Amino acid sequence: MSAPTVALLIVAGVVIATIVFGSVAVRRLDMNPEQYIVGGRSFGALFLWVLLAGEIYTSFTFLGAAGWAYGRGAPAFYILCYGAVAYGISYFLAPLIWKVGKDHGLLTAPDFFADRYRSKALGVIVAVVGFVFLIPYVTLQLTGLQILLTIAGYGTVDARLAVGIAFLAVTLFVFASGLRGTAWVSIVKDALVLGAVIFAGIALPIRFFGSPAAVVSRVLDSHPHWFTLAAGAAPYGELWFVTTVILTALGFYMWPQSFGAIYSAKSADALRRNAIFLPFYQLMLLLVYFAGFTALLLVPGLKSSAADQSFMLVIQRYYSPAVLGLIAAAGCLAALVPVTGQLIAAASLITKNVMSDVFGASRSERARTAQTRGIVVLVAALALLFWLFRPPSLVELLLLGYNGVTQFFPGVVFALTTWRASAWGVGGGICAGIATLVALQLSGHPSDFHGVNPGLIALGVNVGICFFVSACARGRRPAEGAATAA
Amino acid sequence: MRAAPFRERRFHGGGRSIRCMKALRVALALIPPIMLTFAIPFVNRVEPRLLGLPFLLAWIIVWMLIGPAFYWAIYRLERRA
Repeated sequence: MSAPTVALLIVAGVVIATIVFGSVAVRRLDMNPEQYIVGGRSFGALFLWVLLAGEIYTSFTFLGAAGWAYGRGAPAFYILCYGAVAYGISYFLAPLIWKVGKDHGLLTAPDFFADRYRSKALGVIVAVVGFVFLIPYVTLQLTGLQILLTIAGYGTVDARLAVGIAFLAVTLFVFASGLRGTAWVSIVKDALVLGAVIFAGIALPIRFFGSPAAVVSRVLDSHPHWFTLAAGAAPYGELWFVTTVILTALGFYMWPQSFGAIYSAKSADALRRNAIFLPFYQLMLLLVYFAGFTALLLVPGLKSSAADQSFMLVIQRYYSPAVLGLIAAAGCLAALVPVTGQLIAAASLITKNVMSDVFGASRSERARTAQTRGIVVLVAALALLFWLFRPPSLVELLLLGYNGVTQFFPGVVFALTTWRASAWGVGGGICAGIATLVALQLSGHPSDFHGVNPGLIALGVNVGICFFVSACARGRRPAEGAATAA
Repeated sequence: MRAAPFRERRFHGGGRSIRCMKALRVALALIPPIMLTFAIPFVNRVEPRLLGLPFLLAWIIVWMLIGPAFYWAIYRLERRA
């Protein structure tokens, strides 16, 4: 058999085996919306850990982190930092969100807003914004898949067809098994990715340079400034680093699929323990950096987006097709597993917060599960189309997406504190924040604010508008506020 | 429309020791995030190297690893309260 056949057969075998495993694991479940969308709120600390790790660490985390280590150096460390900071925030925030979800039977992120602020209109705003920013994220996973399959096929096969087939299989899997299926396949994904990352981050440096520390010394010899940030307000400098870590840490749990994962917990305690132990998963990223640094020494000269392929190219060049197939299979699962969680989250936004809440479509549980499943297929088709005709600046779209979902943060925090914002304030703040982001993006100089992350500026506008509008609303209708507070 | 009040407060003022414990938990919660954000410009250097790693990277890894100990401590304190 030729090299591409061996590698691609291994990828196909692993993906199919994983899907079969996930389907068998959930086959006897009776699917109501609560079971389908949030796993029946029954996940303990360990299962939750696997699900969250499965959803958070995507193919883009791995390819992107290696790519940044290869192409930029120290700025890549921000990924290591924001995860750790985000888990600290989630230790306090996630149990509170979970409790509201449990007490009021919430299924989606917009449900949280609609319930806390007693406004279905606000729920619709959050649903639409969340949906708009989620689609590029799904699309990004398809791009990761395309990179992996192209390399596994040694450039001889049409990767787009392969991506289409893989995506179709995953959509059918999501259709059948819901969020619990995502958690089960995450187990396989995490195990394989761990193996792949240990190989790429430890075995690779040892084979070529003796030890990971030797890689650092070699990179320092050729690139003396690779492990430090540029001073102050320079592009990708210290100020950029600090503001980006803060912004992304705040936005970390604001993705619609993160709310689904939080609701799926069995108890608040499971979430707290989860926040304590998730940082250890971050260690994998450290190994990914080493893979990126090794690639920098072995295959230098890749520019911009080609840097994302760097360590896969090393494996393709120096290892057997079987090894390449296994590593690529791990990467493909890292793309496909998060997609399952994202599809469920995106579909539930539409069925629950738009179709059911606004148009009052079917009230029976069975019908709503069926609707969610139907919408899963529609969302998948939409993402596939978006990917085929994608705009050129996809990475910018994702950064915009992160900045976008972070605009939910003030609304979530105000809903959990004693200071009460109004629905108009929160909705207006979200809209103003996103308008600011779009304006900064269109101005063509989104990073021209002395290195400050534009999302943080938008967040400032958001909070300002929220305070202002809430205070105005309070002044107009004091009696109602007093009645609610009593 | 106004949000319904939501409070999950375990302490309503309370005695001095309870307030001290709360301050301790807040301090413990804030230290790791500050070390991984605002402290970064002050540790942005290569030397001294730890286990061959440049200082900036070593600093981030150390705080990433001992951060969970802080939250574990908070968890134990909450349990006792």
